[in-house]
Parts: sequence; structure tokens; C-alpha cells
Amino acid sequence: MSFAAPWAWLWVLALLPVLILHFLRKKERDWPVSALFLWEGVRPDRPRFVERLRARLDLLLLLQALAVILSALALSRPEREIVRPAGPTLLVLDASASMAAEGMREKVLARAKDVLEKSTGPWAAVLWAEPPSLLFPSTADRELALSQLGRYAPRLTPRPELHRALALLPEPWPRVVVITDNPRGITGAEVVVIPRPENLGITAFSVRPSPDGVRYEAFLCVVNATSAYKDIQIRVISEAGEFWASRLVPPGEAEEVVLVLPGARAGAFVAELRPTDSFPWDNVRYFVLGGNEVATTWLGPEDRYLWAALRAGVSAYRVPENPDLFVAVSTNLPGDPPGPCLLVAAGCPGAAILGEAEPGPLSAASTSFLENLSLRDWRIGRVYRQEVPPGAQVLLWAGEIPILFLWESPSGRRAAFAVDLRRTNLPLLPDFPILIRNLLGWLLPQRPGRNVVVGEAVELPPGFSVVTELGAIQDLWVPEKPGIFRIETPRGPQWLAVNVPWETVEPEAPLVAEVPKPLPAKASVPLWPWATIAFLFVLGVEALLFFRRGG
Amino acid sequence: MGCAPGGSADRAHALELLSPEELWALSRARLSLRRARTIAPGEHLSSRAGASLEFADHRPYQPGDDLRLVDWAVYARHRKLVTKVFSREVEAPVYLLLDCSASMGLGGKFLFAKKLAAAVLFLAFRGGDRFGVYPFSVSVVGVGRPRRGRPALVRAFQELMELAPKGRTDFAQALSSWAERGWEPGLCLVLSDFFAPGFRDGLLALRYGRHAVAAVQILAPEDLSPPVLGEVRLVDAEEGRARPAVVGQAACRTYQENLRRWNQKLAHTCEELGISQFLFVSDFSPVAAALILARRWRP
Repeated sequence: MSFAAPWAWLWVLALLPVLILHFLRKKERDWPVSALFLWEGVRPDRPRFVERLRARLDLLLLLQALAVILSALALSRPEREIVRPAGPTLLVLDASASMAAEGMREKVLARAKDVLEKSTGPWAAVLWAEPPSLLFPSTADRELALSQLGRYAPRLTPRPELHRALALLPEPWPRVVVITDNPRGITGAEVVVIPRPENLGITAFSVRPSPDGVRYEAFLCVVNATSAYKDIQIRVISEAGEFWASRLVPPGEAEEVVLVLPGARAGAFVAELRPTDSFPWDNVRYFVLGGNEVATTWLGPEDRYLWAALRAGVSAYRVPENPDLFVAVSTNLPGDPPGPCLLVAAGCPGAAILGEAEPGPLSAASTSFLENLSLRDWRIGRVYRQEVPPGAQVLLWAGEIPILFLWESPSGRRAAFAVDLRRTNLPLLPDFPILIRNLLGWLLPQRPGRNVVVGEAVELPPGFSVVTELGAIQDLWVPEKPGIFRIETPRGPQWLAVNVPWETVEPEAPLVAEVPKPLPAKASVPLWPWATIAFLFVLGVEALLFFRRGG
Repeated sequence: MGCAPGGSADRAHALELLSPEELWALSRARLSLRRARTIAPGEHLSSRAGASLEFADHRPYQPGDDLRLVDWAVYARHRKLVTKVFSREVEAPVYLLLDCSASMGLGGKFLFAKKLAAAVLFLAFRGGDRFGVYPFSVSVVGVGRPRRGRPALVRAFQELMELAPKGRTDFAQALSSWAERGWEPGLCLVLSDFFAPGFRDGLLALRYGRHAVAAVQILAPEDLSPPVLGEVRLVDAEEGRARPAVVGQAACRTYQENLRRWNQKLAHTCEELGISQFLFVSDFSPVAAALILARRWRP
């Protein structure tokens, strides 16, 4: 039991005047006797404490004290917390991509209906996905709530922080029920966990042209998130044809696959997995080579792997001067090049290479540039100490040495990657073209990325439009499903690949220790009305007794 | 004579004080000075001389005496004229003097006294005697002559039911003033707790009126053994005086000693005046008390 106004217990101090008045008013009770003269000469006894107390105590006094205590109890507004499954309930339905597996929607709806039917309401429901949205506002109509639940449909986007979904209904809810397949990070809410089905998926897919330009190399990473060995068939489709590979992947492990795709110039690629499972969105991934022509001036020694990675991100070609992009490799530039510049083991004024160094363990800043990269697979043998310009955003450290940072110089945007590529395994990893593509996306902001994820906003420059089922879209487009989309540009059509990120499809398995226990829905039952009734009753009895005794 | 009042109203009055079982138990008892040999009305033998078949005594001849009553055998033997005196059969009215002071209202004493009075009245009614109820506190309230018969019984019961204890007791004034009215000698029962000074003068006045007197003391259980009260204010039920006291075991013992001395004084007075004394506790059966009176009171 708790008290909403515990200071009201000070009212108990009123007992003191009651006691004082009682003992001042009446010290002895009257006892009629037939003959007082027979008591003459009787020497008074020395009463024991108990007898004296018994003589002093009076039912009227006890009732008055009880009335004071009950009034103090009522004033302190006592409440009793009870655990009950009923009451105002906010349903948070996980609608992220991982919930889009076959059969998950029905399970979510079944559990949500179960919660609705076992509570008294009112209810409200929000969809927990990017962006969070309101499924239905607070309502006490159970039938309406049940019918609105049918609007639940998972999206192919990740889920944001839980508080962003709860912010849609800012009023306090005594009971919040989250229905999800991943309870990680959920606190302060009742969690209904729906087990996710076993899954096979392609976690990464990129294609780069070989340096000689006669073939392509496709990099794939497939994951067996099941409990059995899986013989996975991989098919890569390009404009030149289909190419197959197969791997036996142990349970819970990932396998990297490199496929050489012979053929002429190609733009779009599709990687498929066999057998398909209950979640089809990660059984197929799309990749598009950069379509925009980017005039590039190469400064320093040649590095064909870096060139291939560039070509995977944008449609780059060499020009001796007036380029769209400068690429400097293993050199210290004497002057500041006019325009965006990618520095790989290279320096420039204000960001000079200071010397070689042994790398420490990698540590990354929380940034979207490093999303979807597996840094633990990187093997870096040598890094460079490089001057970091003021205001630069450091993305990656090797020990204490910043090896990847970005800054804006008066001449243009700069990205420095202070790593000796010849002493790393990066060219062999799918992460490398992804990293280069991410960096180019920042260095060349006017050009839409060629490979985006579902839910990622794509800014379309003037004159660009994307062709969707709903028609042509201009300015800003948020893809809602994966695939290869056609973008109309003034220079001609280009292609855009949209994928569902693996992290949203198969989020990290929950740690048992972090699974929050369901919070019981608590409700406070006010007890002060009962205390008031008891107070009035005692007061009535006391008054009755008072008047019966003659006032 | 019937064994119970006949009318429905009469029966109702009687039943409020005495149950049918109690009336039946009383119907076989008699209240008398001495067992009479005749069945004529008035079954008590008076100590006053009179004309009857039972010889009582001799007395010296006085001029004017009936010569038929001269005992000539005594004259022949002793040469003295003596006159034979015979007992006169008279009826002895029953006078119930009921203490109605406030002290009688404590501990159920007054209810007991009313029921005992009713039982005694019923015995008198059954004996064919005249009877009357005379409540008193400072003075006697009732002044009517004793009556005989069922209407008188009903009226007496009604009077008993209407009585309530109040005021203080003044034995000397009340009983003396009553006795001075010159009532015909009879059986006089004084029902009281006798918790008032002056009872000797009152009882003496009754004896002067040549009544056979019984002092029936009625006490409550708490009068005999008061509880341990602790710190109280003792209030006299009659006079209203109060006295703070701490009543413990020792105080109770002292009180009981005072009560014993008071009752001893009453007993000495009764013995001195030739008065029968009875003590009943209010939680005793009033009918049983009446039967005890009928059996043991021998004036």
C-alpha cells in the first residue's frame, strides 16, 4: 500500500489534543452506590498501572482516537497496487523487415488479439518500424480495435529506437506490450516474443569489373541461420547470362563466395539463393554498377583494386585535367586539388602524411559510412600517420591513429584513407567496394547512389525521375521494396538497386540475459473512500455513544 | 377461592409480575401468624382476648364482667373470683411497606422487591386476608385501608407495576407517621435495603402499633461484594453526594466489613424489638423468597 499524500499523516498529531482534553475533562468515571456512608473511611488503594489505565480508558476515547487515525488515513489518500492483466494497454507491433517472414503476420495478429481480449482497454497500437506510425489511436471499442489490427503489415525497413514509436502516444500508458521477434534492448515494457523462422540469406553482394575490363567479379556472403547444414545454390544473373555456384554452409555460419562473371559490359546484377525459405527478401539481392560517368584524375601510382572498387561505385573514367574527382594514391600532393579528392595513403596541404606506423586494433565511430562492413575481417598490416585537419570527422582509428577521416576544405570535399592497400586484405573483401561507394556518395553528393536500401531516401537531381508501379517520381523517392529500378536522366536511363539490409532481416540473436521479463500491468486502487466511510461510521458511533451517555 | 385472578386484565397484570408457574407454586402456601383451627375468614389467631372456643387465660374478676365467664371451680378451690379469658379469632391484615428510594433501583433490587411483594400479596389473597401496599421513601404514599379480594389484588398489582424508585429513605419519619394512623394490628413486612439511618425508630413505631413485623432486607450482589473498580467517583444513589475513591481489593474488603457491621446492627435491632429479619439477594428467586417467608416467619 502506498500513499499519495503521506504528509497527511501529520493529522495524527490531533490525537494529542484529544487525549489532553479527555484527561482534563474526566478523570474518573461515576459509579453509583446504594450507600455512600458504607464507603466512608475506606482508605484508597494504590492501584496498579493496569487498573489505573483500565480506569482511565474509555470507549469514547478509543472511538475518538480511531476516528482521528482513520481521518489521517483518508487524508493521506492510500492506494493499493494490484497486478492485473486488464487496463489501458498500448500495443507496439514490430513491423520491421524481420517480421515480414511468411506466417509471422498471422502470429503477431493472434498474439495481439489475445492481449486485446484479455484486457479491459482502452487500447492503442503503433507500428514499430522505420518510420514508426500509429495503427489506431486510443479507443475503448474492442471491436474497432480488433478490426484495426487487420491493417498491420510488416515493412521492409529496420526498426528505430523504441522510444520513437512510444512518442507517437505521449500520454502515460500503464501497460505497454511489445510483440516482436527480437526483445533485445526493450526495457520497461511487457514483451511477447514470437520466434522467427529459420533463415538462409545473402548478407552482401557487390560486383566489380576486373581491371582489364573483360569480366566481372561478384562478391557474395551467404549465411546459414538454421540449425542444419545447408547446401546452398547461388545464381548470379547479369545481362551476359547466369552463373552458378554452390556451397555447403554449416549451421550458424557465413560463407563468402567470389564468382567470376565473364562477359561484356553489364550494369545490373541479381544474386539469388536456392532453396528459398520463408523470408524471400534476403534470398535475392540486387546490385547495379555506377551509371554516372565520373571523370577521374588519378594522382600517384596505379592501384587496380582501388580502380575496380571505384568502378563498382561509379562509372569512372580517366581524364588528365578538370575531373569530377581526384584520386591520390601513395603520394603527398604539393597543392590542394580543386574539387573532391579521395586520398588513399596520400597527403595534401593540411593533411600531410607524417610517416608509417604499426596499426592498433580498429575502432569505429558510429556512422553510416561504415554500415554493413565487417571490420573484424579486416587485416591491416601498415597504416600512415597523417595530419588531421581541424574540423575533420574521424570515422576509423587503428589504435590511436586516425586512418579514415573526412573534411571540407575550401577547394572541395576530402576523404583520407591512411592505409597501405598493398598490406591489407581489403581488396579481397566485399567491404572494400562498399566502403569506397559510401565515401564517393559523400564526395559526390549530387549523384544518387546506385545501391540503396529499402526506406532510404533517394534525392533525385533536377531532371531525374524514377519509374515505379505508381508512376514516375521526382525530387525525393523512398523505395518500399527491393528490386532494380529504372531512373530516367537527361543523359539516358540508369539503374538503381534497392535491397533489404541483412541486419534488418536477421537482427542479432537476442541474448537470453537481456530478455526483459514481462512487466506486470499495475493499477492503483484508491482506498481513501473506504477509509472515509470507516471514519464516518466511527464518528457516528462515537456521537451515538456520546449522546446516550447524556452528552 | 380461585387459584389465580379471573379476568383477562387482571391476569395480564398478574402475569407481568408473576408467571403462571410461580402463581401455582404460591397457591399452596399460607402466610399466617399461627395455624388456626377454623376455616372461617380470618385464619389468624389474635393475641387480643375475645370470644371464641379456645381458652386463653384467667384474669381477676372486675365488676361488670360477664358472670358466665367466672370460673367457679377456681373460686371453689381458692376463694378468688377469676374470669376466664378466651382467644378471639381475628383476621390479621397484611401490610406491605415497600422502600421506593433511589438506592433500591440499583442492582435489580426494586424489581425483586416488587415481585416479592406481589408474591406475598398473592399469599394474602389466597388466605382470604386483607392486604395493602404502602410504598415509602421520605413518607408513605399509600393511605388506603387494606382490602380483601380479587379487585384489591388487581389494584395492588397495578400499583406495584407503576412504582419507580426515586428519592431518599427516611425510615423514622415514614414508618412512624404511617404507624400513627392507628392501623389495625397485622402482619407488617418492610421491604428495603435498610441502607438508611433511623430504621430502628421506624421499626419501633411499627412495634408500638402492635404489628407483627418482618424486616426483609434486599441487597444486590454488588452491594455484598463490589467489583474492583479502580479509580472511580462513588456517587450516592439517594443523596447524590460523590466521593472519589480508588477501589481495589483492600477497599472492597473494608467496605464488606462496614456492611457486615451495619447488618449486625440491623440484626440486633430486630432481635431487640422482636422482629423477624430476612436477607435476600436480588438475583434470588422472588417466589422462593416468598415461600421462605411463609414457611419461616413465625411472629
